[in-house]
Amino acid sequence: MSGLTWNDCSNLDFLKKKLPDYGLEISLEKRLVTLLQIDENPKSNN
Amino acid sequence: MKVIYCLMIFLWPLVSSGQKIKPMAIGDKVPDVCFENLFNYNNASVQLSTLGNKLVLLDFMTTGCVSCIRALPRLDSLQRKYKDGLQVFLVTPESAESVKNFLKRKYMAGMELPVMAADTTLSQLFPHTYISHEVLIKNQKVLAITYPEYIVEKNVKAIIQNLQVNLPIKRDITAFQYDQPFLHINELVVPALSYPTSISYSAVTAYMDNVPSRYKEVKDSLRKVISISMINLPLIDLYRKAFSVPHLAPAFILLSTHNRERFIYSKQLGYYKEWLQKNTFCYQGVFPMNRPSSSIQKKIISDLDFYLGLHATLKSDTVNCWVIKKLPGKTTVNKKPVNGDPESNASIDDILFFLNKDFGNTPVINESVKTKDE
Repeated sequence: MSGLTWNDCSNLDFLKKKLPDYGLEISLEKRLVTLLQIDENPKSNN
Repeated sequence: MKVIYCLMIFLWPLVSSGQKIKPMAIGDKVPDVCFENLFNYNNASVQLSTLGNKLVLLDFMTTGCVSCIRALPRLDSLQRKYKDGLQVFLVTPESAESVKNFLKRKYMAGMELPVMAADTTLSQLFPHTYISHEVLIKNQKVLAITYPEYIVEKNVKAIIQNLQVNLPIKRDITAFQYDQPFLHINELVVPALSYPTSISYSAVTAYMDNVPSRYKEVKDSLRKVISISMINLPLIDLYRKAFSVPHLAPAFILLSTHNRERFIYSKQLGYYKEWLQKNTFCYQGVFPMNRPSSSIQKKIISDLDFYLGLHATLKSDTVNCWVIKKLPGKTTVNKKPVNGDPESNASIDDILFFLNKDFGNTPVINESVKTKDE
């Protein structure tokens, strides 16, 4: 995307304003995703 | 011709019968080599001895190496601050043309770092596989061969002042045999005919210094076993590999721990190399080949849980996500960056990478490739 640098990519507020210039939008929505959960398991340490 | 002549004279004692230059070690006297094909420097070449007692830093890099490029402002700052006592040279095997183009990049503007193009000699004197690779020379003596993170003001200043600084030695062990078993039968005691026809086991070891991280899967049809090795991986990477989600971004990983530094490195914890030594592990599982892959996967995960004192699960859940979508009726422009140049055009993949790279962030997903009807 012309003019968008890597530094801009970490700035969510900036992206919300800038992405429409590139024909895109970003919004908060519920989605089904895959998550990896890692717990410390004190029982196995004892 | 003068340059070639001087190289021949000074490198002659180091050249073995096989015409290979003998690699230098710490404490060795460096031959009085000519640094050639220099750009962004007063001269096109310079002889090492003319640099007097300046600390010479050779930074082996390439112009497409992102981590190398990110280190340049730090090196430039050191070069400016300690110009009387330090001379940095970026060293690359790339052509003069590539280096000229590199120096035209926006982030290189004003930098006082000379670049040595088309190097073949120095990389033979200081062989390496992984970059950046740092070599410190003073009074023609090799003082350190180390990792880039140790090239910081505290260390450089001390070395310039002739203080003793012990930097870890970077040795790229490329001959490590990832397919060899951790477990060996005692060959001196057990005669060859008594060797078991098959061995199954799993093992976890601590970090193996200087062995590059790798995942390796080997099928041994003779012994009818499959061997899975994960060498020098941090805890999260071990589980990502075990669950077959090697690229799952940190925003999709939930950590329930009071000891986050065991999982995640941050600069406050000190040198990355030292964190790796404490927090990375090697795993090897050797299993009967006729076991289903799902069963082997479960075994690896339970081994990791057991040995590492953790409990990991992969689950599907409906959670809040930042969703990137295409605006109706608009055309999306998505150009790839050129040679890892951060100043070039970022892509949607870059946005996903940067927003998902931190643990605890709301996950970001890309639905911009979907049509309105999907």
